[in-house]
Amino acid sequence: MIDLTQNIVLPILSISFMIVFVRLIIGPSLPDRVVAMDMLASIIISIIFSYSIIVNPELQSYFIDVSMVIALIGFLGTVGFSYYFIRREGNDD
Amino acid sequence: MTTENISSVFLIAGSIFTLIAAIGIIRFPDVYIRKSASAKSSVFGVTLIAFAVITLNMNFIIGIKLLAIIFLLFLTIPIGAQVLAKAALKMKIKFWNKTKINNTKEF
Repeated sequence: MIDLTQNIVLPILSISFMIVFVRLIIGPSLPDRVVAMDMLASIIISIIFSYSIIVNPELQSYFIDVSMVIALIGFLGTVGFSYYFIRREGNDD
Repeated sequence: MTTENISSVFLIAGSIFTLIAAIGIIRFPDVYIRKSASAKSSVFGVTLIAFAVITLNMNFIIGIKLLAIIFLLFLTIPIGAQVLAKAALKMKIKFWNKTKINNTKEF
């Protein structure tokens, strides 16, 4: 189980992290970068879940607390950026 | 032994869904289509990996926390997707030229 996690699952998640980071750099418009950042938050949550399998079971609960905080902050970041985009255009409704 | 097999199937399926979402983000031509791919596949990948952690160790506290995270993601990611798409529509970002649109006049 530990071998499968650290030989297959974590490399696939790292490769997808790098692919999404390329979109974060070259994104043509500003909502592209927000989409990539939202996706990076959920890939980080997946990496934390997979890494919590490898560590010893007393420390596993703390990793899951951290991932809950990251989920909340990612949602608030997306909604905050969208509110800023809508308000910047002038007509608010 | 059986529990480990089920958990490994969940892990591999979740990581492959996340990789498909990443490929969709880098290859799709438009903000709206990219947001659609990201929202659907990423929430499914996180859910599958969380089910893998649940089935690997049947601990009550960790199971409750992971189910709370799954509920939170199912609640928040579609809201974020729709709000961001509406913001991009108000910023007048161009659609892809093969998208057929009937109810927005100015594009």
